Parts: sequence; C-alpha cells; structure tokens
Amino acid sequence: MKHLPVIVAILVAALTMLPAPKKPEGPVATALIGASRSDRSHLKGIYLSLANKTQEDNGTLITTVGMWRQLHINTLKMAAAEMRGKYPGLDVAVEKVMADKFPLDDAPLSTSLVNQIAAACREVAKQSE
Amino acid sequence: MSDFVPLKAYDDGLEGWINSPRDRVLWQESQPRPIYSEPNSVGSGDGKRALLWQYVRKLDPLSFTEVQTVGDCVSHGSRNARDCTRAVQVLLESRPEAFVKRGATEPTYGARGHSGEGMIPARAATFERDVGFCIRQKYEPVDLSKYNGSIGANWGSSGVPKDVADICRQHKVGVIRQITTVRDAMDALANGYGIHSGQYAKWSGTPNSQNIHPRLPGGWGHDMATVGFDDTKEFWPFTVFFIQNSWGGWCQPVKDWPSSYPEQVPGMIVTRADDWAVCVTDGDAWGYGNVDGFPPQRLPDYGTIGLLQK
Repeated sequence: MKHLPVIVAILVAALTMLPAPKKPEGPVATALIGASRSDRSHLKGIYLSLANKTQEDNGTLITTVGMWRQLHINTLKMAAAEMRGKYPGLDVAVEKVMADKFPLDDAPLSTSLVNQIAAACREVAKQSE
Repeated sequence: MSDFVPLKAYDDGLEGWINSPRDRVLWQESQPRPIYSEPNSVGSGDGKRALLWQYVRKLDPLSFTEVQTVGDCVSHGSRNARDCTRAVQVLLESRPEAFVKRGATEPTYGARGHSGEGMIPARAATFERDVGFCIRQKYEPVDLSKYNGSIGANWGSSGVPKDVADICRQHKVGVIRQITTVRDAMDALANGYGIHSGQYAKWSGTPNSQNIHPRLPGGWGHDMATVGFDDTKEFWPFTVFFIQNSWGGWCQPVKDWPSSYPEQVPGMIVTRADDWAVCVTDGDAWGYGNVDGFPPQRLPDYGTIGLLQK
C-alpha cells in the first residue's frame, strides 16, 4: 500500500509521455476549429450516413452524380440547417475535400464512382472529429 | 388542351405510320449494309432476354410517359428506340458520355416532308442518320424541353428550320439497319439495339389468360418501339416481346409480372413472338445503334455551397 503513490506517479508520467491522438487535418478540420463537440458529432454523423447509404444504394435509386448532388443538398437542408453560417468557409472546405475524390461531371454512378463519393464523405466525417 | 385521343384516332383510321416501299428502297440504296445481318452474332438472342427499357427508366424515370397529341407516332417510336440505345451505351457499354435528357420527337416529325398527319419511317431514319436529333431542352431557336406535338406538325412541308437542323447535326444515329426477321430482332435487342416499327396491326388493351396482350383483327397504321424480349421461357412458356406505345396508360398491365423484372411501364404491350412478327413482316422495323452521345455535363458544385455557409 505504501507503494501506491509511487505507482500512481509512474502511471501519470507514462501517460503524459504517450503521443497525443493525432488531430485530423484538412480544410474541413480547419474550418471547424472552435466548433462544439455536438456540431462536430452531428456533421460526422451526416457524412457517415451519406457514405453508407450511397454505397448501399450502389447506383440503384441515385443513378447519377447530379442526383447524388441533389441528395446532398436536401440532406443538408433537412439535417444541417442549424449549422448554416456558424463556421465560415465550411461549405468551400467540404467542396474541396469532395473535389479531391471525384469529378464534378454529371456521370452515371458506377460502383467505382460510388466508392469515390463514399470515400469523400468519410473524409469529411473524419475531418469533423 | 388537345382533344386528340390516340386509341380512338387510330381506331378511326389515322395513318400515323405511312407505308412506303419506295422510300424503303431509296433508303436502302443510300446505305451500305441496310439490312441487319450480323454473321458474328447470329443467334446471340436465342434463349436470352433483353429488357432495355429498364436502362432508360434508370436514367430518365419518367421516360415512355409522353402521350402523342398528333399523328407523330413514328417520331415517338424512333425516339424511344434511340433512347434505349443511348441508355445501353451509357450504362452497359460504359461509354464516356451522359444521357443528359430524353430525346425530342419534334425535329424527326418535322422532317416527314408533307403537311398532313403521319410519317414514313424511312424518312425518319434518313433524317436521324444524315441530320441528327435533339433532346428535351430549350434551344435558342425552339423550346423542346416539353413535348409539343404541334411544333413538328407545323413544320410540315417546309421541313425542319435550318437553325434547328444545325443543332440536330451535333448528334446523329450512327447505325440504322432494317430488321427483317424475328430472330434478327432478338439478336439486335440482345446486343443493345433499340427497335421501332410501323405496321398495320392492333392489340387488345386487356391481357388474356396467357398473361399477354393478344392481337386483334384489323389494325392501326401505327409505329411503336420494341424495348425488350424474353426468349428464356422461364416465366412465359413462349417467346414474348415488349412494345412501348406512345399513348400513355391506354391498356391494362399484364396481371402476373416476374418479380425480378424491372417495373412494367404504363401502356406497355406484352405480346407473343408470333403476334409481334407483323412488326417485321410489314417491312418497316428499324434497329438503332451507335448513337452519338453527349459529354457529361459539369455540375456547378457538390451541393454544399450556400447550405453550410450564409
């Protein structure tokens, strides 16, 4: 029992020496500096859901990039209305992440394009953490 | 509001399809290999099915719903065949092109060469091969974004205006072949060719006990697209063809429909191959291939602009 303070001290020292979890980097992460935990979690949830649903559909209901864009617009209108205007530059940041993953051409959704869109959404979700 | 009722008009003798052996011969003389005959793919449709309408519906969910308001069935039939081929090119052949919009009917009908009703399919084929086609959008000289039968009807004997024809020239139908046998039709459909045909024949709007729309005595001088066939005999114990009419939901759908099939489109005729044969024996069945496509359109953004930021 007399060694307990020593053990605790060693544990504390060890924990402080562990590398801090790496913060996500990227335009969305930058735009969300200072964002509340609930807003981050909310945005992450939106984009993870979009990624999952896009892959589940795999071009069946949402057949073109243009239709997916409309889904994206409607999702944000319904699910992210309260975030509008809170984080300057967030819209352009999300666009930048997407542009790195898939082109703006209104092409039919092939499986590979579906996967690219899902990867873009997951990257936005990751940067929202 | 048009008081044109297609079924009544055709029952009363409207000649939407004008039979002209002379024009067919002229067309054949203007075209190397005018008849669909592909030695390398003979029999490729045997025992198969091709349900081409599903691809058009995927890219244009309201396709095949335009109801003709004048005697322009040939231009509806050819447009529907052309759109089947375009959709196959985009979705199955993965060509780097986009469907963009449904095809327009008006320029084709405007090229019929007279001011009365009805059209000779060979003239539609000649126009779409040599001049081209438009899609449902607003162009500078004419708004084709919504079907308006009177536009093509009014061009009549003066023909398609030059500025509209110049727009059509950007997109032509590269391959048009006359289909002369039922087996060639199956091969053509199995290889992604949409078909349209003019014939003197009529079908019942009520399915019979065989779960098909039977032929009736008499006929309509009418052109329709054939958008699929099923030679597997897995559901129907005989070969069936699927004809897409341009009259809206004029007929009852067949009651039993395979659950694995794409949805039955309102106004679709399901017919036995021996009833469908009239579409080739009347001499005016046309297969469309290699349609000039459209480059994918560029979207303005991915959908966030203005929604996450004021």
